[in-house]
Amino acid sequence: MNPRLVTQVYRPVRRHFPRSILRLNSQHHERPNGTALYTTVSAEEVKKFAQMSAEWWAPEGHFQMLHQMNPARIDYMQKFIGDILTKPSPRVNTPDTPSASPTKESENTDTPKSSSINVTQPFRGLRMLDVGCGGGLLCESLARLGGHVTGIDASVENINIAQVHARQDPLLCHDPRQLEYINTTTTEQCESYDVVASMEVIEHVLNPRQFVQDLFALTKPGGLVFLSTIARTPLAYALTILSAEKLLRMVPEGTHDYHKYIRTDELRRLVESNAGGRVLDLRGIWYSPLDARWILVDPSWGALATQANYIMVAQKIRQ
Amino acid sequence: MRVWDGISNGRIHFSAQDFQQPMDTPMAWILENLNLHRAAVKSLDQMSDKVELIDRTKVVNINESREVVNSFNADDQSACPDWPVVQLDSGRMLQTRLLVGADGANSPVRKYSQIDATGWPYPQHGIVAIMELAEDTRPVTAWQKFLPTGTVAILPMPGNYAALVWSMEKEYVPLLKALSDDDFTCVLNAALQLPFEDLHYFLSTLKAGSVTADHLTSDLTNRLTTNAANVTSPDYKPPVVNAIEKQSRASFPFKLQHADRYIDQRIALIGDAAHTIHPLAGQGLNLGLADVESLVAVLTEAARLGQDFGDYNCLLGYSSARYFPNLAMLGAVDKLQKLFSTGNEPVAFVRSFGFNMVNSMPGFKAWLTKIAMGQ
Repeated sequence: MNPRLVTQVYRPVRRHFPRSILRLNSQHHERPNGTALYTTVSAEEVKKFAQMSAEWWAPEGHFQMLHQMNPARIDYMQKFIGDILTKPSPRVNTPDTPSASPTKESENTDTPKSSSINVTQPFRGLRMLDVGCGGGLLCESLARLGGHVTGIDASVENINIAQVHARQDPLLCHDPRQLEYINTTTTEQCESYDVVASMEVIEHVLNPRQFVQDLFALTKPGGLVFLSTIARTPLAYALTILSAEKLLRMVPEGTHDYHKYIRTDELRRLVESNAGGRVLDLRGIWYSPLDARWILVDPSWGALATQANYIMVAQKIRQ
Repeated sequence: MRVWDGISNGRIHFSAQDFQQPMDTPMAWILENLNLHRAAVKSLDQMSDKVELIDRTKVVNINESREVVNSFNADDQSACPDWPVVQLDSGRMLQTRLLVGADGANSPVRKYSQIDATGWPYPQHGIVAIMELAEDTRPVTAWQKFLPTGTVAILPMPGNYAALVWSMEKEYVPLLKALSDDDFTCVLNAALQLPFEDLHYFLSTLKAGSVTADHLTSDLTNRLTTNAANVTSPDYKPPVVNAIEKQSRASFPFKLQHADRYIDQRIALIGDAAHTIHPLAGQGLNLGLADVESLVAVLTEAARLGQDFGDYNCLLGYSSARYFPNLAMLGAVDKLQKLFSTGNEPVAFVRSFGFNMVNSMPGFKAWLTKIAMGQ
């Protein structure tokens, strides 16, 4: 395939979701059907993201903003995981040569696997879970930094995309235990993890209270839960729906549902009064269009900083 | 650094003393290319456990993995389909997460990634040479004279030697290259010391072909002798060239060229592959080094944060940091080139006024110097 064709494949075809999805979602929110009492997954939301799944890894696709947000998330996670889950972070030679590498390929190609890169692996030895992993944007980064990562998602299409994409990177497929994806929902997982992350997911679930409780149930006592979402404020509406969806069309219309956004005080309450967690830090995360990246905002900015996108870390209280 | 307008005698003297605070680093370095090469090879040797240097080889082809690897790999999904594969003339194939195009103005990497470059050629070519200067006129600083046919720049080297970068309208370049070393030395001295009219007369008569080069150079020699007796401003005494090193004369075309983008998925262009610039301000290498510095910072941060550093969105940080600063420098140097290549009297008058005014403003000179230093 010539590069020109590839560019065409990467370039997103803009799909416009019918407004009815928005309405359907809010109806579900008001009158959850029977299954919603036992699972937090919204069928409509799963369908919506399944339709977009092929876009996950397109460099300039619908998920470009999430790609650009990824470094800030990892930066935040490193900051707190390093401080609290004090594991030694040895400099190691990443075994860049996968044991399960395709052998035919190595006949006369110097694959990148033959080299070795010195990478700091701050998450080495940690069991990490990404709930609502989508195409695996966060999972891949966590695995490269040494974590033993499980990504789960309610959409089988997303899981397929994530699995296929991880196999395309020799750093990720050298050890099958390093990164696994499972098509399931939170309530079906019952293992305990050092770190549970769910980024930009809670604003898409049906029952946030149950969802947060599930996240903490999956976490080891003393372990960390990372959550990022959008606050239900006029500013957030202006930025994430009016600007990003309707005016600039950076993400498809209908990606977000304003009524499902969660204010910072609401999320704090969900964590601290229902789920047995203690919020360690909560800060805003802002997009800087000039250098095309997201920045973590210093808490000294005051209340305004957390009026739109924000990220939070909580520790599960030891019994 | 001394800069001299050859039409109007306007002058600027750039010096580290222009700065109010003493500078912790020198204003600029003048290095022979060979020294840079040696230093680069030496530091590569020191990290030979991480870097493989493949020399005496040529790149015969660049493809995407999905075109190359498929034929001998049944499991398509494991083949890193969008990774570039570089094929060497030894038959070796290198598959890579990120391909950095540092392969010059006609960059094959840029062609592979189908990134267009826009620009235009300058009417001048560069003549370079190594020369030996008369002891008492050897400049201790860089020395530059603007002439309508192009800039004459002299960059000091150890001993009495100096490097010449003479930009010259391209129609005269073959004529100057055909001259003997002695005749060329004579013309060069005329360009440095005599009024521009003398050089202009020489070039146009030589081009017309009615008089032999020998005859013309003996005329110039006489004028130079007369002129040497009448030098009035010892401050700006131009260098006198004793001889040109044998075999050191060469010429190359100048062009302005800027890639439409610096990055693509798994591609980053740096240096001349991304931009070429007129050498009159000596900024080509500086821009390339700034590219390297920026790209390394972006890749280091991406690796620290577990990102796939060949990914387009990771590389965006590099292109957004470098594209507009480079574009601004390309544009500014292009305007300087146009300003100084005119012999138009009113323009030369205003230009000379500007030269002398800038020369009397140390703060402004310091600001200009900082920009040229890349700060």
